[in-house]
Amino acid sequence: MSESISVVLIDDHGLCRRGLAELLERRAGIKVLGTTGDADEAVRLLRDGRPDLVIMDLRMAPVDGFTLLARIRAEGIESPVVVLTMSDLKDDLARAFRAGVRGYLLKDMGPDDVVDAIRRIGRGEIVVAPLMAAKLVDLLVPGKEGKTRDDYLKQLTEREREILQHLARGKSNKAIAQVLDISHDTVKLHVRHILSKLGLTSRVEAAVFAVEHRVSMEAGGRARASG
Amino acid sequence: MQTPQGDRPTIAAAAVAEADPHPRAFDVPAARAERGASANDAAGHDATAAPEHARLVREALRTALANERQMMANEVHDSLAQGLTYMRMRMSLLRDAIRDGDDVRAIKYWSDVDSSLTNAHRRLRELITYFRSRMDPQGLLHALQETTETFLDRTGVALEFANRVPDLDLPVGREVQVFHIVQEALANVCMHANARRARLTLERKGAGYEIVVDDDGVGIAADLVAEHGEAGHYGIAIMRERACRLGGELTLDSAPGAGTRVRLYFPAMEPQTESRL
Repeated sequence: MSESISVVLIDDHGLCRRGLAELLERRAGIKVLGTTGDADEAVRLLRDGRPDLVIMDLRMAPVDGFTLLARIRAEGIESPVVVLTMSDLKDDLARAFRAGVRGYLLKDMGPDDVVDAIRRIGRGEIVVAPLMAAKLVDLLVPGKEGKTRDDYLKQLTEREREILQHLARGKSNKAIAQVLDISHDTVKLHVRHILSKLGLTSRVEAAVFAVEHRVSMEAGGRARASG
Repeated sequence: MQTPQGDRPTIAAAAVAEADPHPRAFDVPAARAERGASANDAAGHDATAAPEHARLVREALRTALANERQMMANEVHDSLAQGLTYMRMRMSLLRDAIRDGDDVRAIKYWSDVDSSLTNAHRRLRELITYFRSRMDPQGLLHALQETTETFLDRTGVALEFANRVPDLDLPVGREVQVFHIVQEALANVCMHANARRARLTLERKGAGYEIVVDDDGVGIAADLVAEHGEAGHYGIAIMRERACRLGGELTLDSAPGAGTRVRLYFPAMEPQTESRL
């Protein structure tokens, strides 16, 4: 095991950072340059440390992995990134690979498999968690790829996204009209457009869609930047 | 029935409303706001208004359920999934240590798993308690009230709840973070502080809220507070992580013999971000 790669771990869960750092160092002789759950700190660590590999979670708060990834690239940091997450959503998988990650691993894969995958990614391979491989293939089969969250959101205007977000919080048209200082009829029109663009039939379906697809205004704007 | 003003339709409120044919009993924001337009002409004419209201109530209920489900998924992710991942990693190292005959490390990894299991169990208990109390239209405040009322019996520490925000109304995802931070602070009071009395204070501060947990216990040495973070008492790191998700901050003041004060400040508005899985 002469291969000695250096990594930085980005995860907003301290326990995961600590567990993985020690596992990688002890088991695989991988050098962990730093770990953090904070976006600014992450950018600093990557800029100073220039690791061979960045291991990153997706669902982090307040700055999620996709947003952070876009920011890292915007800073001119080219270190390859591998995702290590609990999310088994096809949509996240698609977004991650579109953003140029070198691997997509799941936290419930088993520690030995995670270590092995990270070693291989360090050698330049691309590794996908077995559970996600079929989903990746689906994305390539015409007709089965399905529309991803980004595809849907791209169809909506900023205003429509904003209204969708209010719908997700259970607000009525009238309440939305008040908040946005526009007429009730305008809101109705927007809602009708949202429904037709998303192929839905009721405002509740739209609200459920928004919750399930984690629509927020910023996420909509950034999603295109990272995609 | 009074529920706080705000965006969050509560499940119990919606459920009660659905069972009640009288519009005045509806207390779901969507239904309430839609009704505003026709309040004059619809008053007293339940027969024509009822189907429309029933639809609005159903819609509000489904939206609330979708939000609740998302919040629960986030909680399981934050509370349990990370602990399980950690334990599996520790078990893997434990196996190595046993194979190498390294007793010192074996004992260390074993005890990491052991304390992580204890923590996971406690968090699971909190989640169950919280999900159960979420069904109450009063949400977080009621959950805190319930915690306070049973605290003395459970822990032997007299806990006083000074609530200066009787109309607190937060989105469910924020409520659950606050609830867990308070639970964590209170767990420290009963496990480490050796306190006789404790006080939980909730008040409005500027554009946000402040929650303070004070106790008259043995306190923690300053260097331990600083060091403990990630390595020692997970509680402190986890409280900080949760405070960060709220866009807020957590401070811990303590000195040996002088009790401990955990202070959480968080802005009333949600930071703009995606929710997690």
